Amino acid sequence: MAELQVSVLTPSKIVAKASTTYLQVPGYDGYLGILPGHTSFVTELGVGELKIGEGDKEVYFVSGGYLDVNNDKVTVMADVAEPLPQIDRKRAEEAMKRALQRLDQKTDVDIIRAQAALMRAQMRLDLSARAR
Amino acid sequence: MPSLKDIRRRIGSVKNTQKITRAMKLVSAAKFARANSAVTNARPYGVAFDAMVERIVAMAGDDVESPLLEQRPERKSLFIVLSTDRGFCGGLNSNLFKFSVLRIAEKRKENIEIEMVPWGKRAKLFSTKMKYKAVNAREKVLEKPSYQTAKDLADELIKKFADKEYDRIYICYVEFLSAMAQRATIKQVLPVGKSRAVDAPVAVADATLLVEPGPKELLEGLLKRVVASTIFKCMLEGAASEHGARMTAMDSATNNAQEVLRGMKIEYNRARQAAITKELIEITSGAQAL
Repeated sequence: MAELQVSVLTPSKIVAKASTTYLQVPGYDGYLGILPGHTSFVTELGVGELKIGEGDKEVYFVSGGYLDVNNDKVTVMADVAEPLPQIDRKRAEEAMKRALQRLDQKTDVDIIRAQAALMRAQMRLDLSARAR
Repeated sequence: MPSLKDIRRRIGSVKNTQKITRAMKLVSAAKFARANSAVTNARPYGVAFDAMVERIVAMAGDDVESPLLEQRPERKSLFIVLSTDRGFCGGLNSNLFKFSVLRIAEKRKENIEIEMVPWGKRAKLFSTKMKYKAVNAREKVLEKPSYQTAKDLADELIKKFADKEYDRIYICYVEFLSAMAQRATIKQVLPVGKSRAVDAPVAVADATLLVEPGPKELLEGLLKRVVASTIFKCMLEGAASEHGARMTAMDSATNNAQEVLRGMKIEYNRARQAAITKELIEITSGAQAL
């Protein structure tokens, strides 16, 4: 059976390279499953978990960026991609506090940004809690 | 002839200088290795990203439109000069500044108003010295290049460009060729060159390519990212150049110190020998007199 050649890249490094039969990515409005033979496809990424292969063997926290599927070659160009054990819980907790504060004050114009930050922090914490 | 003590003191000071230059060389070598691998690690993303942009543009065809692509007649331009914060890196910064001065003079000849953004302490000093109109000076851009910084800076620039504050934005930086060779270069940051995206060997438009939410919606974000990744690349290369240049400069400084030391040692030995001979003559002539 054909396999997907997956590479997970961020602007500063190569996070993972793998060959697999299934890939789950967070699209900008929901999760997508990619199987071999997928049509050429480009989309924006959201915030969430990226899974390479079935099960929870290889899971990454991903936020922002793009997905490019081309002839079973899948490139995930994420702004941030972290393997679960590498998630910095402390930082995420602090980010969450900050975001909540901003949302509370409501004086800040950047409510959307604070909400996005909150979502990222929440997702990081959820994922890393599961990894333990 | 300088006394023995004088020479000894001078040898000591050269040795101290040499210790410093050697230490700086070692530090730069370590930093260079890191910066160099950062450049290498960043490459796959750049390649993959460009390929994707190409594919999308090929599909969207000619009707790609965005404020970031807008080509206006050039009346007022912004020059970013990306320099290091510290010296001791040979001709790196001065070459960059000479190069920038030439480019800016060229633009001024065409009656284009120029403003400058110095990124890095050296560039700041340079802009004051040249009395350029400098805005938004920044330091320590090259210290720890991160994509986040590049993105923030890109957003600032994009805003200025979209507000029509500037018609062109250029960046002057030092391109990294190897540890021994760096070259001052200029790049246009905004408007995003259509040529780069469109005229490149166009991937055959893939009729089955599915783009979500849609090529046009995607393009805006993509172009922003093109700007950010251009800046990020300049930052990485600038950092690698800095450490490479410093490493080479400090290596040759260490070697020069060695040369100087050798010359001084010969002088020292000669002076010592002369003193001994003189003393001997004094003793023997003293003995003869008895």
